[in-house]
Amino acid sequence: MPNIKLQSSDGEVFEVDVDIAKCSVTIKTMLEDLGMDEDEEEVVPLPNVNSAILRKVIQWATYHKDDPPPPEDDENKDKRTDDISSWDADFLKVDQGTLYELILAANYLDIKGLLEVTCKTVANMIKGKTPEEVRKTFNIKNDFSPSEEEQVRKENEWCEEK
Amino acid sequence: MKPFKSFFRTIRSPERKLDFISKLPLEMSQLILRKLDPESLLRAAQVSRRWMNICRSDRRLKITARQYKKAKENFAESQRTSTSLSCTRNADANVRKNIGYCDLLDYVQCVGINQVQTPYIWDMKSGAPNFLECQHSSSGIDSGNMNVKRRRVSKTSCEETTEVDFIAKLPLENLCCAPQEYRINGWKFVVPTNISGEVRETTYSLWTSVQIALEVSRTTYISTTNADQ
Repeated sequence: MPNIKLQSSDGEVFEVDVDIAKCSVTIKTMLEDLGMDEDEEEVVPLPNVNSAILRKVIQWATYHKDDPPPPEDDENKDKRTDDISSWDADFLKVDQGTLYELILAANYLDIKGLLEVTCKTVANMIKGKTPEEVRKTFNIKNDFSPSEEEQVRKENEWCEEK
Repeated sequence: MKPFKSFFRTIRSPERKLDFISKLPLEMSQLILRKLDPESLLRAAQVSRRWMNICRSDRRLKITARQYKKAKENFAESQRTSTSLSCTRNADANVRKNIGYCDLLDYVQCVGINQVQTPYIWDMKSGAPNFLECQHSSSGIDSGNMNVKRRRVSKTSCEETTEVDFIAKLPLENLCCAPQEYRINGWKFVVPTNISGEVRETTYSLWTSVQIALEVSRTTYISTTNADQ
């Protein structure tokens, strides 16, 4: 299996199987469009991903390398969030900062599966909670006055057609 | 690059809490919020101004919330009607037509269906499934356009109807918090045990959703019973 080298923002170089690296559409496109030859000793710079996160991403991609390609985006996309595999759930038992960076990395590297599962994880942190509980979970300051809050709760004006 | 790095440094400290929805790029925040059930979405919009504005910025989120809101209002309306209905027990065809199915459909439509498990439903009086028309959707939920089938369940096919896809098309998480069993007007609703094991700490919002659905189904039940008489 040919390998390629990926360099994180902080300069660490990771040698990865090309097929695994290509689960990132960004890397795949880079290799194809820029004509980077797989056999050459070239290093792909990833200036938006640090080594700790890149290591996690590679770990995830390695485990999921044989997954079928994710379905195309469409409006009917399943809303369920309870179908996170136990491996993924374990993998995502990280602090909020890491989870945040993983979402950004998944988006930048364009890895649909990883983006899906990380977003689901955050959605699950919100689901079924009261606004106050959500604030506590993410350390958010309530910037509504009590009367405004009551009004939002009652009217949900934001969702009306304008 | 510089602000990026310093930002990473800041959030690197462990256990630090982070306002994902406000900090992430808009598309990603929307992606996350689209994964919420309508009840959770309405609550999310109450978290802060920023959260509300992000909800407001997404057409699909607005549609989801609006439909749910409407269904809740319809439900309140149908409940008002059904109170008098259950007293008379002899509703005329017009009343029957106006409550029940349409509310159920609205509700189911906005809660999000394609969620696997369904409670079991049968008539406690006879032990057999009652004669009812089900709203059944085999496709996923979509705002506005859902493939709805009506299915008639016969009195005799007892086996088959223990797993009717009925109101029970509630999202899984709405059932998590439900008690094991409900009894409403002769209907018994059993929540499969494999779900109830996952009971969540926060139940009350979900509980509301379940109650709405059960109440709507009660309305349907009453009108169906009257149709048989």
